[in-house]
Amino acid sequence: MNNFDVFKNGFLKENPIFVQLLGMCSALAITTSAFNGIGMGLAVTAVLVGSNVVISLLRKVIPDEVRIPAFIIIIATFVTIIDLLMHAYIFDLYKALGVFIPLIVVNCLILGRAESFASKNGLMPSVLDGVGMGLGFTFAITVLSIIRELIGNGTIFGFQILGEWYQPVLIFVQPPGAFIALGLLIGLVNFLTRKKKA
Amino acid sequence: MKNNNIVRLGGILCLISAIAAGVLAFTNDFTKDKIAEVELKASLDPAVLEMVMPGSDTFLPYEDTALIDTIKAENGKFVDLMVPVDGSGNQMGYAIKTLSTVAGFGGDIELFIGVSPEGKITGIAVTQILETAGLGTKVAEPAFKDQFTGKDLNAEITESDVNMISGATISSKSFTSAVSNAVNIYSQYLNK
Repeated sequence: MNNFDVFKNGFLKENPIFVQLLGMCSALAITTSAFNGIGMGLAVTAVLVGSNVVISLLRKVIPDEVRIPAFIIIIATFVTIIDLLMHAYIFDLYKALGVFIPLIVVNCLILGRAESFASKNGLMPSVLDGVGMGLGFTFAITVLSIIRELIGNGTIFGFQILGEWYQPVLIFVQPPGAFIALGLLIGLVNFLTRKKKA
Repeated sequence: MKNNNIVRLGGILCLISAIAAGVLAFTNDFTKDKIAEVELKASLDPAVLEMVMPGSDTFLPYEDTALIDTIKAENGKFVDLMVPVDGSGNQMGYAIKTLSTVAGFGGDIELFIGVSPEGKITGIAVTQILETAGLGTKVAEPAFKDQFTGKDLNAEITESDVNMISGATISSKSFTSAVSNAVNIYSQYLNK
């Protein structure tokens, strides 16, 4: 598998949201507006690339028996760094995402990639894996949040798209709407990919 | 032999943790001034001041710090008290910052409430909110919060005085509880 395949794999073939169903908690919780979706996606990407790099470099140093706590410490460190930087430099986004930034620590996508990829591969593939998976995650939750914001609030990125006549379907910005929209999206993705194979 | 292994594993974990702590200490050092600045700016943002007390030029700290300490000691949800002034330095009433006494979905909501010298609400700004985005956060929009503008702090303000947001009742209640805490603070300490 060459490096480009690693990237493409993360973005499309093994898309974290649509195919692996990893990182669902943040994907369901914060996708109420497109701005939140893209912000959370990029924050997760930054953490994922950072933790993949460090874990890949330390993969021969960290003993197998304590790899999980070691991974968690490394991930938590990156999350806290991102949390502090966002607080200092992107205050609006920091306020919008609130408690879900520290909760990136428990995003299973990040630990999943550490365990199944970065701890077994060299630096370059791990970086590309992080970027591919991260952008795949960002793409997926941005699409999900655009759908939810449009149906639930009549806007996209805060701009009014649907006119005054439109009565927002509130349930789409509530938790049940997240499940409904995500389920339909995954169904659509499955439908499209199956057709291609045939 | 087994003990040695435990020491080795513990040692490596300890080393990783120590490095992580060092990196975080450095990051914290690097960002803490900026964070304090951003927080202060957010709390004294001109748009926020205009929302709280239309026509004001700036907000000054309340001079009687002993009173502030008393309120803080007796009212756990009280945050701060400031005095809005206009361009020529005339005092325009009070600005009370308080948390809600009833928690919302994401903890307490923090409001900055402007009060005219007659005790009427001049405006409200939401300075901290962790409600569900797009739903509970609607309490921060004019359609809801402007219902309180003009209400008299000399009388109780309860949930029946305003229309709650459907689907965000808990957030609406939490918001209202912060306003009624401002009523308490005003009647107990400021309007004597």
